[in-house]
Amino acid sequence: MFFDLGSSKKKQLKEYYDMVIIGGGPAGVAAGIYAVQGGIKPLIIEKDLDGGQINLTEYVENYPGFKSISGEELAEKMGEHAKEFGVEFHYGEVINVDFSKDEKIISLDDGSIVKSKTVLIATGATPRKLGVPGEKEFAGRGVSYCATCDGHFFKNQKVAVIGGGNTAVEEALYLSKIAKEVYIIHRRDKLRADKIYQDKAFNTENIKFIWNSVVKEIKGDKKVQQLVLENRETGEVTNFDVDGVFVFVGLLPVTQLFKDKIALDDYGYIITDEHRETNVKGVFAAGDVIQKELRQIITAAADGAIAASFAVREYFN
Amino acid sequence: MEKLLDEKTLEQVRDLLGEMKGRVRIILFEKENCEYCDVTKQLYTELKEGVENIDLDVHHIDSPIAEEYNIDKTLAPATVILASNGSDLGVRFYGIPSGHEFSTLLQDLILLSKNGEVELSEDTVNKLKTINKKMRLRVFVTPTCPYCPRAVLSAHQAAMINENINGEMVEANEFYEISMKHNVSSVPHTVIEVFENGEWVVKGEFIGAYPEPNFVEEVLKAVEG
Ligand SMILES: Cc1cc2nc3c(=O)[nH]c(=O)nc-3n(C[C@H](O)[C@H](O)[C@H](O)COP(=O)(O)OP(=O)(O)OC[C@H]3O[C@@H](n4cnc5c(N)ncnc54)[C@H](O)[C@@H]3O)c2cc1C
Repeated sequence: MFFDLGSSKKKQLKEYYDMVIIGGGPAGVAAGIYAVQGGIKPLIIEKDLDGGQINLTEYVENYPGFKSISGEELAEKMGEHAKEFGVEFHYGEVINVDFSKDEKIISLDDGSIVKSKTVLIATGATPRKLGVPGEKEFAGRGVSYCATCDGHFFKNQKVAVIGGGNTAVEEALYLSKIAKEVYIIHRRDKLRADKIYQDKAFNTENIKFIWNSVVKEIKGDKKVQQLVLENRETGEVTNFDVDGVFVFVGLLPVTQLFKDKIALDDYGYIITDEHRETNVKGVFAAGDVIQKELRQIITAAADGAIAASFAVREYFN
Repeated sequence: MEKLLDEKTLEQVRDLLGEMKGRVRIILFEKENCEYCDVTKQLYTELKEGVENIDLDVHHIDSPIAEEYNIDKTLAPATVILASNGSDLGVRFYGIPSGHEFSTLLQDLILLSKNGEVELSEDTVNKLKTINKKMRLRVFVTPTCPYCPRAVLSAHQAAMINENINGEMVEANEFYEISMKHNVSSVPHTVIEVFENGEWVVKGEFIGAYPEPNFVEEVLKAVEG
């Protein structure tokens, strides 16, 4: 049992900040720290919790300095660190941005509006959907994208995990401690996940594998009951009974707000230069939301630091 | 029993709750053979003893007082928090507010100490005030769900604004039956009910934590429907 203290004390929002950081995950938090260090006044706007996606991980074991730390604890520590450093936080959701003038305008769902000289977009990513029939209908009825949130609804039941990357395998390992059986369903004949996760999964008795298979449809009555699977080698179509299905087939950058306002690539990721600046002067982006190779906590934090320290030099000194 | 909140955490809680403007009263309803009643009582007791401005009453869930507050007797531990002027603004917790929901509890204590001075936009407040049917927003959560506090706070603040609305957190792990009744398998899951002809009727539901304008839209849609 743990006790999350949540948001810092509510302060009246000021009208202007040197830098508005959208998103309080590792990228946003690191940027906030480097902005304060550079002598400017940043504001982080976060809709949910400090630490972003880190809150979804059971244990983080690859962030230097922490051999093994629960995601929730690392997330809280990051938020705390930034606050003690002097970064101001505000909890709300950004619902509109105007980057057309030198002074950027950011609107929130609680009705407030702030202006700033620079903006850092660190809105991260969310799980990508499968895009098959039944997925939408059964979202919240057995289809889930968050094992931490929903795993316990499947105690002693049979669940499928779709995907073969690090997140899919990590989450399968987590679910294997709750569910009776976990089936990893992957479109290839081997996992993409790093070796250490693969080894753990292969050594877990109640994790089983269905290779070379894709989900064609999710079926059920009130809740998920069956997956229609197609074997990519043989073309064979089978029905597979499950109580729940967890989808981890990659990420979708959170960039709907910025479409037509800054340059995005074909997948929706933000295109930045080596300083993490976008094609709009004074607008930066960092973390999972940008076009890059490795999307992890450490690279998100690094992006944030690079962006903020460059912004300080370029726009304030 | 070992303390739930260590001294450092309590120190931080004190700091956060320094913002409270008056005393608030937590009323806990418990019963026998209840897995989370004792630990919930312990949590509130530690808060009461460690922090200024918190009063605590504990009653049996079958007591007449529970009836006064329209507590759902099947769901113990149940919690009501009164505003500092003593009024019941409709804020309920069914199950223990632990994990990320502890942050919801702290926010509620602050808002209720200011007699329900919410932090919502004027537009949201005006729209929610128009609701003249008795309604209940039940937000199903798990303690490990990072998106849930926001959904619960929306429901609780709606309750604070309008006396026709109750806002309730329901900890899904603790209450299997009612969670299954509503087919809850992803959280946060908000069920919107209206009291019609002597019973609660489900009028709408949504999954996830919505931004303010969308939350209001869902609630209004349910009232009209
Ligand atoms: C299950 C899982 C396990 C993982 N395990 C590991 C691991 O072991 N090690 C590792 O290094 N990485 C891991 N990762 C990846 C890691 O969590 C991410 O790479 C990292 O969190 C990205 O940081 P970020 O700051 O770019 O974005 P995020 O962490 O996604 O944070 C973005 C934040 O922005 C907020 N936001 C979005 N839109 C708005 C808006 N409009 N207004 C206000 N706020 C907004 C969101 O609420 C969120 O808090 C894991 C990810 C998952 C899902």
